[in-house]
Amino acid sequence: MNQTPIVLLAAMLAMNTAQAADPAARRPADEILAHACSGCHGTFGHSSSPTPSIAGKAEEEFIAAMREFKSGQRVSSIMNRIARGYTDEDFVAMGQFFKNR
Amino acid sequence: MTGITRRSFLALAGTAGALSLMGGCAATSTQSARRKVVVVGGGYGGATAAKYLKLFDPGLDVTLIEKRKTYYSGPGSNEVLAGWHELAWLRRSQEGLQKNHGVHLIHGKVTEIDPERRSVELKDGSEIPYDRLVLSPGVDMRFDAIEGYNLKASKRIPHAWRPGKQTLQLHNQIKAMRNGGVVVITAPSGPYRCPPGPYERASLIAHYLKQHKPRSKVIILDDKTQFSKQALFFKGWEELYPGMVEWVSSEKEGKIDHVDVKKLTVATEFNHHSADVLNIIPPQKAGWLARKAELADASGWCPVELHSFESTLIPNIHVIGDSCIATPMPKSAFSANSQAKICAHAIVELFKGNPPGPPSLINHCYSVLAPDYAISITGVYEYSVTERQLVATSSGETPMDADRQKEAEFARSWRENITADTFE
Ligand SMILES: Cc1cc2nc3c(=O)[nH]c(=O)nc-3n(C[C@H](O)[C@H](O)[C@H](O)COP(=O)(O)OP(=O)(O)OC[C@H]3O[C@@H](n4cnc5c(N)ncnc54)[C@H](O)[C@@H]3O)c2cc1C
Ligand code: HEC
Repeated sequence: MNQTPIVLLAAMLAMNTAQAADPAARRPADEILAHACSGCHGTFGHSSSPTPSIAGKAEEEFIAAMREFKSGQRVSSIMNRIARGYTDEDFVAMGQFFKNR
Repeated sequence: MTGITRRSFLALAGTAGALSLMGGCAATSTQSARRKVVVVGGGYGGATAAKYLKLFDPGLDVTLIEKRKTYYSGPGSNEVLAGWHELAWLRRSQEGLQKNHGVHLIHGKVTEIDPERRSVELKDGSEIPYDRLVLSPGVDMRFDAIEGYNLKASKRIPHAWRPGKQTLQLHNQIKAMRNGGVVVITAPSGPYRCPPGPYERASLIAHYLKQHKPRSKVIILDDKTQFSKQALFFKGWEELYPGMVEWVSSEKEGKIDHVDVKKLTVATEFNHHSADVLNIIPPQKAGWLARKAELADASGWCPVELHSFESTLIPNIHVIGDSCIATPMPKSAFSANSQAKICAHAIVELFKGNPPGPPSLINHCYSVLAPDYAISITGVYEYSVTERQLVATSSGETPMDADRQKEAEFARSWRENITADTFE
């Protein structure tokens, strides 16, 4: 038997580590995702310390930070729990939202 | 009977109303006029909604109506109770919303809502029309739930679950208590605002007692068998206040049965407790205005459509914050702030004729156990089409080995940031 379909399926499953409630459904809009963060990071990501400002953060840096929080590679008692709630696609969307603020 | 008929009619009208706006005929008729949104309640939910409505569409005509001259914040109020700050430290003003964002601010009590004519009436008789109405009226206490504890009894034995004068009254009672006295707190079951709040309160009272009346203790009589962040609280009490905080589950003593506010006693089903200071935190329900306007169901809370927080009972009225049903989100300032943004965004989309998109929300509740010791619980939420409610895509508590001092710093930082995000 040809193994390709199984390998493909496995690859698709691996990509889909997303925690989406409905993998098939449309993701929330960029600004809908991002404004939920402002409870802690301030409106449009402008925070007063010690919570870091995320407004104007370079996109790659932002995405890398979120991935590391999600995987646990970067330890934060707060952000590890938050980042696990989002997909990689969400990180890209939010990265674009915050970079120009 | 008529109530039911009216409700089911309105429920149908609700769907029709939302669709007609999207369909365009209602939209074109008022296109030229500025859309009017009235927000009632200037707390964490209402103030955030007013601000974000203007941020999302500066062209909207937004009016915020608040009945109290001074609003006191729930977050932080247990610290005032413990004597760490003056009451004025909790004061929040909605004036920044007027100055910075052009929100019209009215101080007055809304006494009537007319969903047919789309207007609200104030106590002074004035009427304010709306295209869409947002309600964030907070909670009311269920004064019929515990025998012996009604509105009148609450003047003597404050619940202090709506921050303000009662917070100070309870502080003064604790201050006047003898060393070796017992503070009894009753914690409610059912949905109530700030689920970890009673346990944070017990911790901070213990902090005060440890310094000033070290032979005293705090007993929590719980109407539940478990509570939010339980293991973290137990660990904190053991580390900070050994032997000073006792939690009594309803599994052990049964439900809270009745209270005598003159003798300062509480009877549970199987036991009896005497207090030197008594704090009854009663079960709760949606704020009066929401219930009066028939926006609440039999549970006492308001069912809403979760992409827009529009009532499922009456069209063009949105309910956010403590009053609404957004299970499994807890009732908190953080949730109210997050829901307000979803609601504001949806209203702007509905005015444009677009259906609201999928929501994404966060709640994060810190509990402070000592000045350098805090713990927290998180939830990230989205809508599940299959479950037809919000679900947590991530949730969790402070890890057992995490740095509590750092969490305390972040808790203070959160309070500053959410105050600015809501009121400025
Ligand atoms: C001790 C304690 C500690 C807490 N700690 C935290 C915490 O650490 N973190 C957290 O996230 N949450 C906390 N909370 C919960 C938080 O305070 C509430 O969840 C939050 O205030 C809910 O916001 P809301 O807008 O729904 O209601 P509210 O903040 O109560 O605002 C409602 C407003 O509506 C006004 N109003 C009502 N009816 C009318 C009317 N008819 N006309 C005009 N105005 C009207 C009221 O005057 C009030 O100002 C705590 C609460 C308590 C009691
Ligand atoms: C409960 C409060 C809270 C919420 C909600 C929250 N954050 Fe954070 N965030 C923090 C804290 C605190 C830190 C600092 C991390 C640390 O040192 O533990 C942080 C750090 C970060 C960083 C790293 C910044 C840097 O310069 O290193 C990013 C990026 C970030 N958060 C993004 C987000 C995004 C995106 C959201 C919304 C999806 C969000 N945060 C929601 C509290 C929060």
